[in-house]
Amino acid sequence: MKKHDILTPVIGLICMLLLQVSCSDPWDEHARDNEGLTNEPLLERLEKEPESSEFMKLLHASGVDKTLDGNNAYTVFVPENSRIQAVSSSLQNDAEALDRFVKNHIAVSTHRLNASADTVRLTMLSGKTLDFVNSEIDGAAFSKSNQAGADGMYHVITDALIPRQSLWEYMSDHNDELQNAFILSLNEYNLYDTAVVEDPADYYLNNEFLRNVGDMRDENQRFTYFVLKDADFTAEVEQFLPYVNYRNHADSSYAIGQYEIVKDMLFKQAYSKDNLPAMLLSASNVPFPVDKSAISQSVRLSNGWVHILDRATLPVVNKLVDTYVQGEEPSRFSESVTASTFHRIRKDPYGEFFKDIMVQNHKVSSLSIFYNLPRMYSTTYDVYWRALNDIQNNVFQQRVGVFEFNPRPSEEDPEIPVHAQIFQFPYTNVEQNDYNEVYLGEFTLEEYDRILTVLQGAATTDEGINTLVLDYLRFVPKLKTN
Amino acid sequence: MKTRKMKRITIYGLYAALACLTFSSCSKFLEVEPKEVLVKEQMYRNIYDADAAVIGIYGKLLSLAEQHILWNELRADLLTVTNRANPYLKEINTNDVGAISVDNPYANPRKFYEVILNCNDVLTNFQVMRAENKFTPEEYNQRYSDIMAVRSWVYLQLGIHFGRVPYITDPLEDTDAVLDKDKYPLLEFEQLLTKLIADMEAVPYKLLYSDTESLMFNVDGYTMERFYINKQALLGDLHLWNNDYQKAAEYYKLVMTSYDNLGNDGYRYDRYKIKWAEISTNNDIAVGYLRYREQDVRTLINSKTQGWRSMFSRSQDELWNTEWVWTLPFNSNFNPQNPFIRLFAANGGDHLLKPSQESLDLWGNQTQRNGVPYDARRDLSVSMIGQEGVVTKYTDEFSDIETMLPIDKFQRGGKWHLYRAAKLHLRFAEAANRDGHHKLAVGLLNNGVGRIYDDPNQSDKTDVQQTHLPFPYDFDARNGNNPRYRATWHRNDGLRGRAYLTFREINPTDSLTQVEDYLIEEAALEMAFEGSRWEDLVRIAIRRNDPSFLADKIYEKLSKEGHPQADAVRSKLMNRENWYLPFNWEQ
Repeated sequence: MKKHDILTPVIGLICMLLLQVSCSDPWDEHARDNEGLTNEPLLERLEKEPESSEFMKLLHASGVDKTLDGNNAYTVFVPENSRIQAVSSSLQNDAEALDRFVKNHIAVSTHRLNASADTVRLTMLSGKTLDFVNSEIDGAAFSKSNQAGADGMYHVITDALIPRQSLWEYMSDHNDELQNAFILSLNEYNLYDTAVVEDPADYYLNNEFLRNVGDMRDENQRFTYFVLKDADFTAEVEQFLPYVNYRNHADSSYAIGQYEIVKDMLFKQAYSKDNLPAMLLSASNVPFPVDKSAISQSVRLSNGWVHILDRATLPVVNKLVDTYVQGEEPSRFSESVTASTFHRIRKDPYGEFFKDIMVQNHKVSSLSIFYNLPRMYSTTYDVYWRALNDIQNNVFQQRVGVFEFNPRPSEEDPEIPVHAQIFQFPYTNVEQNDYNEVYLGEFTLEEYDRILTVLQGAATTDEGINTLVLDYLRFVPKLKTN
Repeated sequence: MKTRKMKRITIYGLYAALACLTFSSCSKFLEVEPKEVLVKEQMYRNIYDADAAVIGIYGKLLSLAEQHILWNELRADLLTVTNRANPYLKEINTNDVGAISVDNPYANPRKFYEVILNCNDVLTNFQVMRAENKFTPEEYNQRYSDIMAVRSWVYLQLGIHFGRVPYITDPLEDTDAVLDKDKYPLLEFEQLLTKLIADMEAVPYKLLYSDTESLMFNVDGYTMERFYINKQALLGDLHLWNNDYQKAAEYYKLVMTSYDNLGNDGYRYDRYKIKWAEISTNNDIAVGYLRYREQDVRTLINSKTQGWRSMFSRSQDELWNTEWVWTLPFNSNFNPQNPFIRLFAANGGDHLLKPSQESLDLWGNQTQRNGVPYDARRDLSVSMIGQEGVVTKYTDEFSDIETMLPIDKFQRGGKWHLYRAAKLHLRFAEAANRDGHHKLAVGLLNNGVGRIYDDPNQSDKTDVQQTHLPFPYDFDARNGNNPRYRATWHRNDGLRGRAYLTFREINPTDSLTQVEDYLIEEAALEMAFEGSRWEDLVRIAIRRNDPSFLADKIYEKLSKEGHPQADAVRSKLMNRENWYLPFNWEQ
């Protein structure tokens, strides 16, 4: 009996021990999962956070704390106290800078720590967009994360998020450099007298650079921009002037020359100096060789990078890009021949599909198809066509003419506008089943302007003889040697 | 004491009451026959009950549509999965039968046996009804033969996909009893085929239901004629599987000419004749362009009312009747619901399946007669959303051609496309080719019987444009003006003729295999996604005793989409055992 007296408490103890072990995990783990989750308002939680005291001072001073009133959820990225102390002196007497600084640490809605390699772009209250990726925001690491309150969340980060300039702000700040000054001048200056003001209320819309090359004000896009030193920029423009002779007018031509240089200096992706590839392709398909040794300084911006170049790296020949005219994209016909106009699909000997246009059995003598071309440099061009004559048993002829884009009053009758001829290639055979490009010859464009190209059929109404067919025309600009 | 006694009495009372309840429930007067449900004895009393049983079988058959297409198309090379497909569909697509999950619902043959057991039940009861003289011999023959054909069709499908299956002709109450291998041993495919041929040759009636039969009345707006399985076409298929080419050709030919004497000239010249294109009006089911603008790809007839594409969605009009042999309709108002919209549609469906690169390449390798370097049937069978194809054959009734949006998302009707004239012609040609009539086969494939037997220099067509062969290879396609001939087959345009394609050139020394290859490829171009591709590949692979005919094609599909198992699956498919899905289900 005595044995039992001792055994009972021992067994009891073992049981209790077992119990304790077995009921340790699930609830505790659940609680640990939600560590940092409370129902307190975000502001109250921030007040209690020892590492946020310096930031809270700025928050109250700026008045931005009134935004965190519980009506919306926010995420606050709180720099550690030591980091704030390092920058706060510069903000003391500048209310606007203080406001921008504080707002650059707050984003609408709650964002948990993003540890993945996929970039989340956060738009902060300052309007800047910051990259949130690989457990870093804009390069700052997290020392405490996912601290949630009832109306938001905060993280403690190891660096202050000082708002950076956008590319546009940078340019406006550096308007003493000729290249930047030119781009800014486009706000008020139209390159071409034919320009239409799209919206007088937004004068930036008039800026051809912002409209056509890239809107550098946009915080959601990313850019890489190269700046030439003033002397280099001027030399580049001078070198390119022969290609942009606009109505023999020196000032306009010079402005266009500058535009033709800067349009190939902006790229729509952000590359730091280290990440720059060997070759970039500009919006107008110009290959831009990157020479890192020519970069003397790089500036990080909120929406990209500026690299300052010691010397020009883009040869003129790279800027002379071929212009293609697709046969199946005419702007108009000399007469309506809808029922005889065929958009065809063919396969070339390399197995590539292509679309072309064929106008056949249309009963019109000298039928013309018109193609509007973009602005072309004032230089000499080699012209080629690819025209497939594959369903007829005879060879036929057609020709290509180049005309001024803007009509002028005719000499016989001033009421009738005509397009002055620049060059007319002779009638050329369209041989059967020829998939190769055919060289038509060369012509010289004296002025930088748009042109009108005309594909014209034989001067007969005979079917099969007056057929027109065109896959594409290719205009190859030549380098001027003088 | 008193209270305790009282208690005891109460307890006894309760027992007694309980006992009363128990006994009374055994009494007969409470047994009322339910009014909404038929009990077995009420089911087969007269012709109307018999008709209801037939329609019931077809209703049940509809539930096999999804698996039928997955087995015959997703397993084969023309159809593949999108990244939205679930792992079960991906297993079917990969076709590694050893790696198919036990619980993969798409590989489960249970539903097929449910239909078979239902058929067995109906067949048995029809015999009882006949013995009790509850319907006439004519009524009995037609219905019995119909259900026998449905059962045989289901068995053929099972045989093709499982290789060995139990052949059960008893009505079983419990579908799971099918799996009892002691009672129902597994039959080799060849043995099964012999049984099915014997069953079908023995049926007392092989034509369509006669016009006077109650089953031919229109139901819910559907013409019922093409609703029932075509027994002769099935017999043709069975004999073709059995490599009995003459017999197969005979049955196919009977179907091809089945309307010749049943109506006007249209019946004779157009129905199942793969008729030429109406190039001036485009009121046809051929590939065509606007007249005199054939060079303009923008004028391709791509519509639900004209041209080749329209056959999949047009109403059951005269043109529809020239092509379709067997289709079953889905209707939003009745179960089972159309499974194809979910599988194929990008809007209103889940877009789980898409055309394989291999299928697009097959079309891309063709040239149209106007020089366009691809088969127009590609654009009439598939629409593109970005880089991803969408099969449209099943959704043309559901969505708009241009926008691909549902016309009415609650109207999810459509059809299960089971048999049509193109299949009939290609299979007839396959049989004829094997039976030594290459020229006839090529005519049906290329540009029509009339043209291949023609002599263009001869204006008197009396002795040309015809085969001069005995049945079933007797084709008269004379189309002459002096003397005037308009023979039965004069409008036949050939499959490639109707598809506006350039014609296949045949190398005479190896014509048998070459023609057969072309016929099978033409079936892919013409009937992609319609549920006959796997059948075709397996049939030829068995006939030639060459598993690579099947394995290489599956390999092409998988390797072109960068599937890591492409090589492994190819080598597995080189063994016939690995063609077959595992025959089992969880009870």
